[in-house]
Amino acid sequence: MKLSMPRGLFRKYLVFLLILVGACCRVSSAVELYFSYQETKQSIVRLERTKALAAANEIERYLGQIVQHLRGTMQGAIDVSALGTAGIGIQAGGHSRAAALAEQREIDFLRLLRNVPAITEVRHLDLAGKEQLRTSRLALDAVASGQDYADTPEFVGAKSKKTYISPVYFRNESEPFVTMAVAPDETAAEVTAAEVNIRAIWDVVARIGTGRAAMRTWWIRTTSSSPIPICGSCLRSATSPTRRRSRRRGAPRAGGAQDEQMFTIAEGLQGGQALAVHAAIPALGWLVFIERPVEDTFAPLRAATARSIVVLALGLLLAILASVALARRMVAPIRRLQDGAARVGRGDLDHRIDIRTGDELEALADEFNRTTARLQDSQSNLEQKVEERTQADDRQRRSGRHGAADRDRRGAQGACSESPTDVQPVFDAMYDRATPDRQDLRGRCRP
Amino acid sequence: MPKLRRVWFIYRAGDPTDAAAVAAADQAAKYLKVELIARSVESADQLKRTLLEVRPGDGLMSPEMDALDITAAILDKSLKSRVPAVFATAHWVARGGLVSYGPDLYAQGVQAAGIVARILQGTRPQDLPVESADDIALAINLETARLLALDVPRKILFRADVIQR
Repeated sequence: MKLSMPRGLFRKYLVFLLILVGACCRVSSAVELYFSYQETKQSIVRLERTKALAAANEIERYLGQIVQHLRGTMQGAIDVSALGTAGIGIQAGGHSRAAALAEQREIDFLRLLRNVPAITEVRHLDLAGKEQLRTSRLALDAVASGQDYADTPEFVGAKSKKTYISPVYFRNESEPFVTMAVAPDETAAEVTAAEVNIRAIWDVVARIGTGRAAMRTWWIRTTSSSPIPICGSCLRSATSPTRRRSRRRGAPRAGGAQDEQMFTIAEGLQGGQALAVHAAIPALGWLVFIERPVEDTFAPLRAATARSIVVLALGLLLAILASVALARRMVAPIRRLQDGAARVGRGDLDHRIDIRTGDELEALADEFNRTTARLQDSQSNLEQKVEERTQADDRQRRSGRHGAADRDRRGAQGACSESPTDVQPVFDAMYDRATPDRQDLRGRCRP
Repeated sequence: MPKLRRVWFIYRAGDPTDAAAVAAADQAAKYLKVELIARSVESADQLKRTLLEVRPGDGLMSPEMDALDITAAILDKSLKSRVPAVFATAHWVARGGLVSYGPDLYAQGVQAAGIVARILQGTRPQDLPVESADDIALAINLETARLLALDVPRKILFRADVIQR
């Protein structure tokens, strides 16, 4: 009986509890895990972007300072020409004024080379774009060489925009340079152009990309040039720009909707998936990119996620164990009730079900016990009544002179129940009536 | 040096650096309209013989690579024969050379240390660019200039990084 007991209830309880204890909690923590993953990812991206912005600012400031120095040289020459026009040098004549101007400019250029180590060469171009003065660290100086720069982008750019910074180019395929050119704000624009070594950008990047800087790849994209990587803390020429450009499909263009796209995950310059964030230098139209291998960037994220998943798994295990225990506790009294009912059903009316859960089940068991008790009572009453009746019958039979016919009929009826052919009881009854004291013979006809 | 007509460039034969320097010097000589006499020497005797050909009014240029004590011999000749000489590094000026223009060796050491530091910090050497010298110094010895009866222009003095008095 016990073996055939259905296990459906246990299973139902187990599933119910699992859903309640396990699933609900797990779902909520999984949702939280997802959001914290997203938030951490965003904060990592934001951090990288902050670094890119800082680098962009530093680079802009650095180049801006050099531009200021270049402008400073023009100021000296303007002062000299102002002195001339103010009448102080009128007697000396135009020729000597021009000579004074040239000397002042040369001294200014020398001072510039001394003060700004990044500048390797500075040129003065006259209104027609002819070179009037060249002072250089590495090449020969020249006075009034007359070399024509009229069609060069630095001359054209400086004339139209007052400040021109060329795309980065590499000397000896190694050191990054830009050509800068400035023109004074007056309409008669003579141009001062300089070749500037921008290697100092490495130091800027090295300062900002502290810590695991070696894992980062920095590069700059200027408006018209291919990406210029700054590896670790150095800048070097991109060996195959076209290939790299095509690989950077995800990279946004300068002047595009930069703020919308916080980061890009694409194939990096070093190969492998990389996270790239960027910041713009609007004045130059440059973009500073930081690129980090995805696995390195998101390593803390992965660790946190792994931790959460382990905790989740442990929690789930705990929930299963708790559910099994709880379901068992809930089903056990019902089992006991079922067992008790079965025993009573088999006739064991003395059995009482013992459940002390303090709830409806205990009440049910008590009720059942009471029912069993009443059943027991009524059964014993019935037996007693049967006994009494039998005894009363016997008494009647023994003392019965009157009502013999009735007794005969009953005796015959009772005796004849066996078979129509069995006449023995009839004879017995007749004998009995004839000899009322022969009790022993009567017993034979009883069933 | 308005009277300068000939400049001697004496260097050790087979040295690639100075072979490259000859080409640059040749270009500069054309621009400055002076005659460049480039001589490669293979032995101390040859050096001695070559230096005997130098006449007053000529100029001397020392090589970048100081093999066979060429530079010391040029300095000696310069001071004894009163021939102006130009050197590659400033320490020859400290020893009596007239003028030098070239990379500051001390600064180059600092620069190289920076590269070493980057490599030690984990940058792959192949990612590092070839750097040219940060500091190129002009040194001038005014005492030697007086000895050679040369008037040093203000512009040179202004530009000079090291001035020996």
